[in-house]
Amino acid sequence: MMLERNMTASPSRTAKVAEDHLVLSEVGMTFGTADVIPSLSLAVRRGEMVAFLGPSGCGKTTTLRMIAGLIAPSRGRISVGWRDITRLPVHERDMGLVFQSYALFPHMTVSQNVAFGLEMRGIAKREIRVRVETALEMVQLGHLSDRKPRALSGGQQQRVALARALVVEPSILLLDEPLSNLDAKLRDEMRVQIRSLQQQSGITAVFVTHDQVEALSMCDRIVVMRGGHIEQFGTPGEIYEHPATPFVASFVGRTNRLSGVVEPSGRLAAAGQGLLAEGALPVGQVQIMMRPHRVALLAAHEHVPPGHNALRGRLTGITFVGDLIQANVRVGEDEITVEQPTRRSTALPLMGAEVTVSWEAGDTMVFAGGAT
Amino acid sequence: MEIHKTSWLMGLLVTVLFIYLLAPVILVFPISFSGDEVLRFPPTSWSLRWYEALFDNRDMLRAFWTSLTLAFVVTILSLVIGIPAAWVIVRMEFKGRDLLFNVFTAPLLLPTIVLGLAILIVFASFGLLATMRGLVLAHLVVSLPYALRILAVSLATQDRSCEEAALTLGAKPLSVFFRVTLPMLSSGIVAAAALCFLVSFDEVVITLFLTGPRISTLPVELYDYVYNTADPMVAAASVLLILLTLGVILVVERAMGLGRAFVK
Amino acid sequence: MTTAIALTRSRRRFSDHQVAIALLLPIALINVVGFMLPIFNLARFSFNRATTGGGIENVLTLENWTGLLRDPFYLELILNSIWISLGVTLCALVLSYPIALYLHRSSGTWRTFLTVLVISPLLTSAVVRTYGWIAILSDEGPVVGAIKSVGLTPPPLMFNINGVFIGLTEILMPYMILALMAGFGRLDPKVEEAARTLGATPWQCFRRVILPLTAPGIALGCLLCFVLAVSSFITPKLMGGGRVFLLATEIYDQAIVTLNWPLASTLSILVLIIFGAALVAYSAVLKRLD
Repeated sequence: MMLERNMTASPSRTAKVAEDHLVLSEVGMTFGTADVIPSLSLAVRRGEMVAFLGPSGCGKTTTLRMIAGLIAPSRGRISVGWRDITRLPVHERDMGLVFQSYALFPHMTVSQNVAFGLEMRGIAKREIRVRVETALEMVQLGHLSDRKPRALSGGQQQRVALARALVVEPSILLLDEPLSNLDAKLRDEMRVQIRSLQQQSGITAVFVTHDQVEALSMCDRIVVMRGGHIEQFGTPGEIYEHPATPFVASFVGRTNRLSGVVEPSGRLAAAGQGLLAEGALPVGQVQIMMRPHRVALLAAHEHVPPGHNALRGRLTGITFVGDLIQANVRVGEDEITVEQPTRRSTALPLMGAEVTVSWEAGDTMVFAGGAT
Repeated sequence: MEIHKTSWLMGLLVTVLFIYLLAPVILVFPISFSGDEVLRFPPTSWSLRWYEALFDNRDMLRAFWTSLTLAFVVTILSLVIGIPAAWVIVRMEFKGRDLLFNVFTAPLLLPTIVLGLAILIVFASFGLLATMRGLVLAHLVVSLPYALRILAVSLATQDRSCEEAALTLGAKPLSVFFRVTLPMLSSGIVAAAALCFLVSFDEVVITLFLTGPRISTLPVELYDYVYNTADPMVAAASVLLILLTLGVILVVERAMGLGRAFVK
Repeated sequence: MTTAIALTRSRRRFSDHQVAIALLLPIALINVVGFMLPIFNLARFSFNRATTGGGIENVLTLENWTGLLRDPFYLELILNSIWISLGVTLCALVLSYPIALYLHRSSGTWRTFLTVLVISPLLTSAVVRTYGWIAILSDEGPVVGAIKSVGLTPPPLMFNINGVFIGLTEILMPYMILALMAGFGRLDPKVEEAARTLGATPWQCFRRVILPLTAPGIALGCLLCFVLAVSSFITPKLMGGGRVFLLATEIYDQAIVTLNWPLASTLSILVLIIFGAALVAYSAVLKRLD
């Protein structure tokens, strides 16, 4: 603890622009006999928005609730700005939490809802009025301040919840799947609004979601979680272009999956055909992945540019989806999906035809181990 | 939907059955305005004499006030004791919660005649017979399970995230309870209060064992009266009781819907 | 898992455990003093000996129980109670089923209105309703009047088992209706429609589809009505005119008039045993229905 205080005070650390703000060290959660989260360590920097992304049951919401203090971790340490808050009760943590169900107080008006946190902090009535007004203006709900929550639409309730969490100027904003109860159009709007509010206030935010689009488009960095583990922690670009594991590759964006082998000589092959890839390759059975829209469909003997991979296969299915044409090509035991934007002149090959699929060597992702 | 159209035969049958079901409650209305000396239907003349007789009957009036006070006290105590108990049972996690809930609601499973006798025997040795304290305690035994059950259901169906939201906004646990949990429980509280009031105000079998010349409740007084003389004065009292019940039912219906409150 | 756990982290003077105990103490106290202790005491009394003048001799004896089983009066009283309760239950079922089915098929305000009509007698004092039946069935009442007016001799209705039977059936009907409606929950109108499109006549549809689907509700309603009938007191007492002897009225008379508390306790425990038997029968029926 002493050491940490010294570190906070040291000029070298405070001078850093991206200071660690929220730190989880070896945090674990056990329900009964189940290790929901074995051990989790991560650091969120001041002012950034980090997504916890993963399928349901991956532990992302549990982690968020541990940060908020709604559940106590079985082990490990949570700190904010180097202050240990692991044992701090919820109401002393100073976090703003936006719930999936919004959790607006049904018996209070919109402005009473927003004022609640300020009242709990013992702030003077006059100041509360001003701050509530400002907060409601910020989410464009000033005109609805006297309504009860049930008289509002889903999107409006969402904005009240946001204003309520932000008005107390919490140290950290936590968002638990805040957009999942909205329809698609509203979700797009709210994505932009939440992100701009977060950037304006410069607040550190954690955003729990199972939707990769939300995570990729809104957040500075993404924690991809599975089964209580962190699979990868990186920027949206890193996660998408350089997934650390096959799971990340297939969970974020869509992928084709081929089983292949790296021979001791270092040669990569699938279905008996040689392939190019960048970086070091693990020897033995491997999974080869590439994004469908980065793969091109060519006629059997069409010229393949240098630095591109090419695999021969048979066309087994073709679907016209308007913007796209989706083609399925059988290569050995595996099937590759190809997505190409349509043009009026696009001539479709015939079903069963011999074709070549091609992609840039750099788009090849290779993971050790056979297909799971 | 053709096959679900009820035939006129079914309609007639249901009408007759409803008449049977409601006959005793409806019939007391005309009888209460009877001008006859004895119970007779249809009455040969009409008057308000039995209402006058009722309001001149000092025993009845005294019993009515006893019942009203008793029901009021029992209702308040049921809520004051029942709300925290329901909160602990629903919200705190500990082994044996279900067992505890079952034990606390078990008095409802016992026939009142058995419970009445059992309480009589114990209260006799505690000197609680024919006292207000004894009646309050005995009525609590049967009203608390109702209160606990309604409040527990309301609490269990309440959205927990509102309380969590209040906590994250900096409210201390006690503030959360008074500012969020309790207001959100209001319809359950109204229903529980109404039911406790009716249970206490109408309770007769257990009370019969515990009352005496010194203290008596309206239902017991009416029971004694009917046992001896079934004249139209009881009809007048019945009408007033039914109207009171209807009033309470309306309160509950407004608060949460009857079905939810009373279907077990 | 819950907030309650997280609250323990709060710096408070009392632990959650202490708070829970403090909050449960009043209800526990009332439960012990007003329920557990009395019932335990009741069971004990049934093995004590009554002495003349309302005294109780604190000895362990089976006299009450053996006496009960040897006395033809009590044997008849017990059997009578059971038979009458079974009869009342059956009548209540037959009369309630159409009402429940009709309510199940109705909807909206009409349904709410009818449901309130069904429930309101339930919330009306048993004394009031019994008094209503006395008014209806008395010699100067509408039923006797109607029978006389067509020139027939009316059967004796009041102060005998007939009146008790008629009154008790009506008084227990709301319970039966509510239980049946709860059981009708799984009766989807589409199933009936399916049965009818498959060629079933209305009667076959009722017999083969509706009845089996509503059987659990019937079982529950019958259990409820039976136990309430066995322990009913107000109606038999007021309408029986001292000539109808049933378990509950006998318990009261022994406790208040004869002051034989051990015997009253024994009869009470007997009622509880009959309750237990009914519950066992009910579970067996439910098991077979599954």
